[in-house]
Amino acid sequence: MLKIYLDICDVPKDVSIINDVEKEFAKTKIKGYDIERNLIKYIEKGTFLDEYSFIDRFGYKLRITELSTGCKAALCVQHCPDSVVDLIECGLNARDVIVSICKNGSVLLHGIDVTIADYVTSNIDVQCNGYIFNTIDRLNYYIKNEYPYKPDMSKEGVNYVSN
Amino acid sequence: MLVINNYTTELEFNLSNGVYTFSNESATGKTWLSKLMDEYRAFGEPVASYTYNDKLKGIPIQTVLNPLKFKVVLLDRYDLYLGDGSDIINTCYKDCVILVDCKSNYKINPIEGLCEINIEPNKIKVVSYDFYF
Repeated sequence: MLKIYLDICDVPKDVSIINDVEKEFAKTKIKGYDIERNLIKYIEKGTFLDEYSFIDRFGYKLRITELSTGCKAALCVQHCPDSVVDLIECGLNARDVIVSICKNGSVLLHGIDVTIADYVTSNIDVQCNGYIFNTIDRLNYYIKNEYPYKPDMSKEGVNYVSN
Repeated sequence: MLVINNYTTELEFNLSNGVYTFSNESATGKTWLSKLMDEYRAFGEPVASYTYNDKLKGIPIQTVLNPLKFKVVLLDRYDLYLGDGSDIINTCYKDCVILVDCKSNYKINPIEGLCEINIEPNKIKVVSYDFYF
């Protein structure tokens, strides 16, 4: 489950925050898992080729280090599940793909005044402020109208975190 | 307007002097543009770029914010060094084009507007948002 933080103050003190995704990505090995391929596909408009390269939107082979910063941030979310990745450098497109398809990891969101678009799917599995959200619409509603308070549990798409 | 077409990848900047930010979107070619501008600077062209790694290396931002040498400057990953060079930007923006990659709500003053980047395999074009639409 992807964990979303909307304020840096919500991040537990004992959890590290990744601010420089270029530096973190430089330590990361891409394996070609489905999630990695999809992140490159939806953010970069490219195709994963191997651990060291990808095909860009023009059909050219580039080194994996030449992925955009936003795509690298998304891949860091998957590869650093014990840290919170600060998405300050992510464009809205990258942010929305991360929320839509990442199934683990933690992120610090920015730009929450702009609603999250359902680029890939409207069904999600996201934890935010102690609640689980199953749809992008419900998450958007919570962020815009209810955060930081308790959501209206009678509205579909939100559940308590089971302990 | 500045066009650099001496090299394999052509750069075209169709903007008047001032400070511009890119739209809030990833994977549009900004870092590629930044790297090319840095390379072309070494070739003697009046363009320059600055990124977070330059700051980490101790390179002052003042080295690129110099309208006498550079007509177009790109500040890449500015979210990680917000506010750096703001005084100089305020004094030199009328004499050059300053492109800023900044996705946060940080207010850069004075801001001319948004710019759009269009990439092709052998050309990168940057225009003001009004021109694009």
